[in-house]
Amino acid sequence: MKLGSFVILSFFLFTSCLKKNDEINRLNTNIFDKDYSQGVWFNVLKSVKYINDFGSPIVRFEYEIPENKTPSLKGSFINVASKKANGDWVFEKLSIGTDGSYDGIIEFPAVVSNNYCFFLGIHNTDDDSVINSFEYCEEVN
Amino acid sequence: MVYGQNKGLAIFYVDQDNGYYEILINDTLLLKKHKDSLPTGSYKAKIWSSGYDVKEIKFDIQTNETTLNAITLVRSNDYKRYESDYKIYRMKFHKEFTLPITLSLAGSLTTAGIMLKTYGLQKSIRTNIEKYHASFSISEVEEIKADINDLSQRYNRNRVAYYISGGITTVLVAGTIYSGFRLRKHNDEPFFKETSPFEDRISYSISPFGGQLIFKL
Repeated sequence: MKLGSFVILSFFLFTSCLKKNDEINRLNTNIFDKDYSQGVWFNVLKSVKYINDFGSPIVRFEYEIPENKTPSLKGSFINVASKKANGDWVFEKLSIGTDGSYDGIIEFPAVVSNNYCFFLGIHNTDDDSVINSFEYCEEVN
Repeated sequence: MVYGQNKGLAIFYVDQDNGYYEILINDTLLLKKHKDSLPTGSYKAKIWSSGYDVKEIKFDIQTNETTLNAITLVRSNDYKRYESDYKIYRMKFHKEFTLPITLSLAGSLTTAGIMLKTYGLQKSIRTNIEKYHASFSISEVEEIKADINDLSQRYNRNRVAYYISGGITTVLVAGTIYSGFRLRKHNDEPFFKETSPFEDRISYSISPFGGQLIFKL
């Protein structure tokens, strides 16, 4: 009788521990995942227009990939790809900073419209493809 | 053994299976051992053992001689009825208790086995999810997700198996408890006890520790 009750109670107790694992359906938070769906994973920190050493006007964007947008096991660098609108991908390695974020720079020759757009994505070094790219546009005067 | 004058030795070989019997000689002397010296003469003896009919024999005692009496007792009708009732009771016991408890045990072990396997899969999924969140490689992330997907399918199959097996086991255990209660309530285990037909007679017995003479009043 006691053993029987114990067996039945154990069944219901263990049943509550074997729940359906919903976390599987939320595996889209890693920026190295082709199914990533958590939105823009970089922040533009600063945008400036300046004249370079050759006398050409340049627009410069300083951006970061914040620590909380990167995988938990921190790599020393991240392979990213950036391109201007209608341009080609440029591959680059961003080194990790002391705060765990990765900082990068994108520069453009200044144009009359003052409106600048670029794409930033994750570079797949296996096949040189780019995944999870997002566009950023800003007017810099 | 030293025989007294005009006495002989009577030995009884009683074929029965419980090891205990009583011999009433000439309706007066009750023996509870297999041999004794008796005065010369003719005797009537009644032999009884629990579960057997009383058997009567006659024998003669010659001076300084040994008389062997081989007696085979026949099962009593009461005992045969008890055996039959006990057999029916055991059949019922097996059917209503032993069988359900065996099935319950088998079900419990199966469920426990499935549960352990399912927990193992759940643990593997969690480990792989941690790896997913840590990975810095696109190809590795793909591999991890494929593994998680495979583990997840197996986990869900095992969960369903666990619920089915656990459900069946629960029903079996509940049925065993109910069956055990019903068996105990409606069926008393048959018990055979028979008092000696010679219990009101004088008896004596001798052992290495002494002898005793008993008068039943």
